[in-house]
Amino acid sequence: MGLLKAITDAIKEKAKEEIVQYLKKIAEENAAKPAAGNKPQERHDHKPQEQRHDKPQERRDERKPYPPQERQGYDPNNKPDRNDKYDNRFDKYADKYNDKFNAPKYDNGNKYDNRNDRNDKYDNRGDRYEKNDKYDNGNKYDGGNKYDSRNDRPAYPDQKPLPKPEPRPEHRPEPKPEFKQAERPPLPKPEVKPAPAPVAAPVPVPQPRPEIRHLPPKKEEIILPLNEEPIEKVQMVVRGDDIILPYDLARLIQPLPVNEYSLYVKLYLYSYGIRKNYGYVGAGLKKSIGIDELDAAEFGRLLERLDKRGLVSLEKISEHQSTYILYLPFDEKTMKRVEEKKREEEEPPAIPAPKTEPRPAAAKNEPRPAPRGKEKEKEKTKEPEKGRDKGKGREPEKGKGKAKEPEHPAPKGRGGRGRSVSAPEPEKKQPVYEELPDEPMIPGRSNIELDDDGLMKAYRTFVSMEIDKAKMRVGRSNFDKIYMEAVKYIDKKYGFKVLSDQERFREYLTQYYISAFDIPNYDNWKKTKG
Amino acid sequence: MEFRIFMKSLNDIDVKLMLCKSNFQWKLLAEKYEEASRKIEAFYGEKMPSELVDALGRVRLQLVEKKGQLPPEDILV
Repeated sequence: MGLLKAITDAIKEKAKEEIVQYLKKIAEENAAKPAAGNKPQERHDHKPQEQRHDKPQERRDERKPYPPQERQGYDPNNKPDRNDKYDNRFDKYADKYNDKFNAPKYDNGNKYDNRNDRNDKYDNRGDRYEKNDKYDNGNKYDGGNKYDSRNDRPAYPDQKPLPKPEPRPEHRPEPKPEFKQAERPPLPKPEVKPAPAPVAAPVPVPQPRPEIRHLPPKKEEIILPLNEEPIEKVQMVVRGDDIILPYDLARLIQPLPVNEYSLYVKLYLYSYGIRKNYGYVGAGLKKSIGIDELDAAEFGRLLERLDKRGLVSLEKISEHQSTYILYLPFDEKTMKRVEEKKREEEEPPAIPAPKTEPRPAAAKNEPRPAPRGKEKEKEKTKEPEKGRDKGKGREPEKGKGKAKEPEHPAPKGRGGRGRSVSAPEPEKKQPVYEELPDEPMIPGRSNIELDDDGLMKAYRTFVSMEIDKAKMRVGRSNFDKIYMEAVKYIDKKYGFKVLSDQERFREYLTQYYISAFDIPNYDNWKKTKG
Repeated sequence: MEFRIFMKSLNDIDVKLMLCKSNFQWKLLAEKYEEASRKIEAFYGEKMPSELVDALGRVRLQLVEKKGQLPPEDILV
């Protein structure tokens, strides 16, 4: 762009110079004309027309076959007849021709006598006309390439200082970023940032401090157990619509933080809802106890804290699955240990009522099954004594559950826990209390005073335990496969909608498990129960 | 046009089923499937295109398989 601009400027300047020169020449010519003023004024007036008709006249000169000198000796009388008209016709112009060719030359503004001289005048024309000189100047003729001849022409002095690089820097992008950079610093953005920083600085400073303070306690957090009694899997029978929270338990969990307290109470109520104190940990449990919105991590943390406090026993059965056992004060009237129940089922002849009487005592005297693993087994030998000691201290103050006390003024020992034992020498008195006729109240026994509903509930508990056993027997992966087959079977047999109906699905699934694991049906089980 | 809409609804269920990780999500997808199936049957009646029949069967099978893969929270244990 700069180059083009420079070229156009140069051309303009040249044109100006040529125009000035041309005007000067014209002025000189005009000045010279009055000086030569021998010519009549009329001629001078017609000069432009003659100049205008220079070319036609020249052509006529070329066409003229005879020079005017030969024409001087011409005799009009000897002309041929056939040309009479022609000659007569041009007679009136004859004077003019004679004047032009024969009369002495006058200065008609054309200083050049012949055409070639006049053409020489144009050799001095400006550069803009030089393109036509290729025909006149043989040395410069380059075969018709006029541009090459232009390049050969000498450079004008005005062109040399043409500042080609000067316009470029004006259009170069370099100054633009400089301009922007110059604008950027005054922008308020960078200045605003530091401004709030000092304002916000004091705020975040205290924030990280409490975080730092919180972290070490988390690592060094020591949670003392509230409960040292063993946690066992139990199944219970709920009579009526009431769920009893023993006073001892209420006082035991009272010092818990709100989150843990609420979680424990929710699990407690849920356990009575499902009639067992154990199950899987997961989203299903969260949803069931009504804390579906709670974060899974927080839920796991709370469970771990409850585990450390001895109120929940967590057991990891796989990478992604774990089970829990909730601590419940054992009540022989409404609860049954799962291990005992299994033993009873393994020994069917011992189940009948008359023979089962000594069993609870024997079972209570025997070391308990370890719900928490080996550690629990070690504790068992000590815990019964501890539990009894605890029971000694608590019994006189609080007693047991409010609803249970009147029914059993002298509640039997709770197996190894011995909470209900108030005597200072529980080991000696245990058999005495155990022989008391409270066994019919234990669920799952054949002599339980249960109506059909109660019996059905007992059967369901039995089935649930059988499924538990089968799961342990076949292994988790195989059980999952069986579950998948059960789902497919239910879908085929009962339709797809059943899969969405939780109650019906559960019912059909239980039926499938009953048939798959050879669990006795209700009638057979009832017969065995007598 | 309706055919494409129905196929898209079934494909959506198929895709979302791959991301399903809980019984609750599965239940929602199952309800969607049942609704789509009901609409298709209501629209086509007995003259249901074979492609839609295949798609319905395929999605149903995948729903059932997914149900079997999810943690069995419905069992009594």
